[in-house]
Amino acid sequence: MLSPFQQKQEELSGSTEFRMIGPRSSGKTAYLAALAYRSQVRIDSPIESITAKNDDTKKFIELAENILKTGLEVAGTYRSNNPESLPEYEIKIKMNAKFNNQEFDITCKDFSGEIFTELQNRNLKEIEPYLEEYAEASGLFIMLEGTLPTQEQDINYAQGLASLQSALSSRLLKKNKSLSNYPIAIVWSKAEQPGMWNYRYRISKFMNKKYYQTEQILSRWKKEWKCPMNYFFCSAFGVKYPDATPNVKVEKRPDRVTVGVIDRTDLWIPFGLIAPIYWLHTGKDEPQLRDLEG
Amino acid sequence: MIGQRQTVNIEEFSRKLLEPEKVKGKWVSTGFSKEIGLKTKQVPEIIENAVYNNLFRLNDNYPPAEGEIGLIAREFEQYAILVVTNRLIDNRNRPLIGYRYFWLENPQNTDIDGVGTLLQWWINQNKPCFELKPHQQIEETQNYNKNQDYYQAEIYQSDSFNVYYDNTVENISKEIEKTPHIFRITEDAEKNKFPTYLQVHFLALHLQKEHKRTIAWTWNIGCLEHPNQYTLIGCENQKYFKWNQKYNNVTTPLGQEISLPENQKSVRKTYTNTLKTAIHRIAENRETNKYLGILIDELKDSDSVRHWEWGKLIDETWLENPNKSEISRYKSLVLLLNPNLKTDQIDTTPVSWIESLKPSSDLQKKNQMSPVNQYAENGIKVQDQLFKYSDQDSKIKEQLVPRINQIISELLLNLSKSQDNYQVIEWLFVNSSEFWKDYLVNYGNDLFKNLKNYQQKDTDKEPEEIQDKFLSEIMEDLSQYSEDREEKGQTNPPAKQSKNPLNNKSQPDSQSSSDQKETIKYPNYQPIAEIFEKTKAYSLSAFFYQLSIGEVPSCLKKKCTNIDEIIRLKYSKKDKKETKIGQNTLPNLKNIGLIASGIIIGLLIGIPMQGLFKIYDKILYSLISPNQSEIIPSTHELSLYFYLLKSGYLTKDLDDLIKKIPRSSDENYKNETSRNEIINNREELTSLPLYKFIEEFTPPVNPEISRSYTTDDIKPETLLTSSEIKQVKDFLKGSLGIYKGEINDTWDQKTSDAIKKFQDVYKITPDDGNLGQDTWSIISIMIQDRQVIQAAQKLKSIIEQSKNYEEFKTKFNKLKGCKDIKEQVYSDCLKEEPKKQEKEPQEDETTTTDDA
Repeated sequence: MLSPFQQKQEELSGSTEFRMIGPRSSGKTAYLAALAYRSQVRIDSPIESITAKNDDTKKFIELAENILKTGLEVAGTYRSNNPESLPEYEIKIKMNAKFNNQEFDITCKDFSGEIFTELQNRNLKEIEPYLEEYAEASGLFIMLEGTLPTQEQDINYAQGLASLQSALSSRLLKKNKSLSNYPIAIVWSKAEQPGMWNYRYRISKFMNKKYYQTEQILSRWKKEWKCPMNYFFCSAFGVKYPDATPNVKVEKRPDRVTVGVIDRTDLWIPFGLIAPIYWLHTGKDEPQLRDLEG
Repeated sequence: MIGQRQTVNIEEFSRKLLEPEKVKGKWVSTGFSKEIGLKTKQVPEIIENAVYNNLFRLNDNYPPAEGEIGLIAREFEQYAILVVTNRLIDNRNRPLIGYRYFWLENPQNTDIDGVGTLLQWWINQNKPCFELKPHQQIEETQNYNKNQDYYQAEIYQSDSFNVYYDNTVENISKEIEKTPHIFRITEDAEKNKFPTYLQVHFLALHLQKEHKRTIAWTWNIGCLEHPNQYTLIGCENQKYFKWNQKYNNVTTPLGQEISLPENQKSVRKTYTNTLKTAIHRIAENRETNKYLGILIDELKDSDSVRHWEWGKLIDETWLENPNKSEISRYKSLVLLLNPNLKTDQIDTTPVSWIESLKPSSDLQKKNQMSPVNQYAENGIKVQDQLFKYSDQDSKIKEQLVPRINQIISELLLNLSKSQDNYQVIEWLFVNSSEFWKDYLVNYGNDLFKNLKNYQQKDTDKEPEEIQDKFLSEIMEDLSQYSEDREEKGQTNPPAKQSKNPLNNKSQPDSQSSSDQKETIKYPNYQPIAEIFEKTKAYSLSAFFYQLSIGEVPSCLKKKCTNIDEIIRLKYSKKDKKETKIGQNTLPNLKNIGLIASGIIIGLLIGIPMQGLFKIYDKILYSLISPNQSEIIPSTHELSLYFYLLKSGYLTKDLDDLIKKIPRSSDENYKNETSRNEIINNREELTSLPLYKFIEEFTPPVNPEISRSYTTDDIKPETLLTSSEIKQVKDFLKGSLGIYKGEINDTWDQKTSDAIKKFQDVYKITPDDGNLGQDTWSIISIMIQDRQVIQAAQKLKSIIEQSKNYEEFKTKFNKLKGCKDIKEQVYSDCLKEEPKKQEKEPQEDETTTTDDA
């Protein structure tokens, strides 16, 4: 044969361009850092490789390395006057043979948690450019922290989400975009924490029991928009291999109270990082990706 | 310090955080509010934009050490600003940076050192920095200070800082070879001495005076968002030193004028990130119209060469992996925006760009009839889009035309020195796009006017003062021409040493004696004459013929009337002899038969195929290339076969084509907006010559049906033909798996059910199972694409499996024959092998499998 074929790769078409939203300190940046840093993955991982596609992502990976290896605290994402000025992260994810060597690109922007606070307070005018960005995106990644299930937090989430639904609804319709084609991934972070870990395969029960108002709002949202909506658990710090204990240690620093940092980088296995973005991209819910990723 | 005490007013503002809260007796932030707040006066727009453009931004993850401060100082036009940064924490124990900005406006008609004045004032006021306090407290303090002359600063002039010159400063100044100069501010005083901020400012003044660098420095800072915006960067430690070095990709040697002198002063409304993304997305052909719109908006307001931050716009990571089509689009776009751009990563200067359009390997050069590679047209398409905007908007035109003229000038100059790029340049101006042709003619007309003015001495400029290098070159030649003619009383210009050695060789006697009357004068201009002739700019062509060969071909005399003669034109009696400048001898179709016969004879007498290739290597050229605009006639299968077989690279092109075609399973098809985008951009795909070539031997798919097609229409006569119904069924079954019935020409309930499913999946309304035009316009595209994919895969497998031309021919004819077979569906026909086939292809190699 004169021109041998190369091994076939399934290249999933297009690129998913999603935007992140979530309350302050819900772990949005840490999630992205853990995702972007996973260039060296375990051999049994469903992920073959993750590569940066632009300079901003490369720079971010360097920061991620510091965060994940040295336990540097992740600063909050600043609230820019205009979200256009914020870096856009583009990564290529290549799955292993079990997933037909699928490759896909994702593009994502990490926005300040204060945007969610403004939504809770219904200060929509203050965040107009951000709402435009959300409406322009092909999907939404909502990150919520589930470690402090108080009634107040539940109500805050519910208020913010209700406000977001209403604000997005009008903007999407204005852009002639179909509400039913706008996928929304609800991702509960810090799943390694004891209050959440046991619920990792029972998210509905978790929400029903601990975030009832939030669940009600989201169910209504899904029903009204008839849009794809899915729930996920994830953990950027993950658990320690092989006994699946939380990979977080609490450190006391001289000038402040405590910080959570990654405990054993050598045993680090993040949990459920790929599942939400894979779902946002393909619409497929892969149980294998909802687990420890190796 | 000046004798008489003069003062200036200092103003301030801060990064505004949300109202802080107290945790264990210490104020902590509760979140970000605005980047500009708590101000004593309205902040000038230029400073405001600098803040919003992140010129002072440090990464919040790397604040100064506890209890320390970092400084950033710079000047903007009449303003000076000093930014004091310090470490804060928020109520989640996360670090962040406090910014307090002090600024002043230089009093008119005074020569003050703005930054120096701010610095001395700040020291005198005990080095104030950002403090986390309730907003009301801060405002009260500001009001109190205003009443206490707190903000009155004594004016300093630059020589005041001479006192800070010492050995440390001298040593550092010796190290500075380029800017930004990045260095450490480390408390390692035992071995090394590091400068104080006053010394850093002294160094900045020195660089301003000696090398025209803007006052822009930092001291004891972490990771800057835009290090290239500074002259001196003093970093807190080695880690930050490395970071800033790594992410600063634009340096300018001291001896060289800074490449973007206005960049530090001007502020654009579009963010660098946005422009950077826009350029990449256009190159990737993702939402091209949207992103071109962004570029256009910015072009209306700012000079893309002088104001855009090209050091940041070039994404090194992105440039590591683009495909050839993307890089072609990228370079072609950047060329128009900045034809001077040349960095370690990318060179889009005109000559480099034109060279990038050539076929990439010798083999390809030989095998292609087109002088450019298959990706060149992608780049031209992007340029055409930009040209269209330029036609519609005078501001854009104002920006682009000088760049285009510069590109044309440099390409013509290149052509006058060497003919290596003749074919590509000719292709650009003659064949690539109407825009380039028009711009060339416009440029030529301006050139002609300028030459005329020069001849009539309407300009004071000497040739060397003219920015257009090509014009300058001609003027120099004409100047020489006139002087010599006057001196020697000649009627024709004297011969000049050709710049092209080839031409000198071909005209060995052209300058052997001054009394030789009919000589080639400036033969290096002949290619230019030919290009102008081909673009029908006959006057210009005549001028360059006269200049290059000493006469004008008589055929031009008829074509151009009222020629303004810059030099006297002498028409030859004969038409010009056809010359093929810089052109390889392309394959002569007549040769193909001879070659074919030779090969067949060769095979008969047992010469191995590889040997034959070598024998014919120099004369056998391809008859098809992916960017060839015409489809080869079927009689040339032999050459097609050899081309495919020998080069192997067309199978790569087939692969590329197969990848480019969207699949019916593509998620974008399932969303109306993205589907419309696919359909709207479809022409780009279907106009690919290779697509057209393959499409030629697939069954036609009519894009329109006259009315809705329902379950009641059993065996309709007027809408879809029998074979089209089979096509639809085969597609619904084979590609989507949603039709469960037989593949026949009956439109039944199962078909209607499948159509309904299709409408549901692809969100087409109404989803009633009827085949209306809305549904058909999507299905027909999918069917056509599917057929092209199947045919391309089949062709690839034929190429690979055929042992000789006979076998190839048989299989290829069979493939083409499938187009007209009515009794079976196309995909089934492709699966069948000719009866004479000796060996059945392996299943995995018969790549007629479905795309789904």
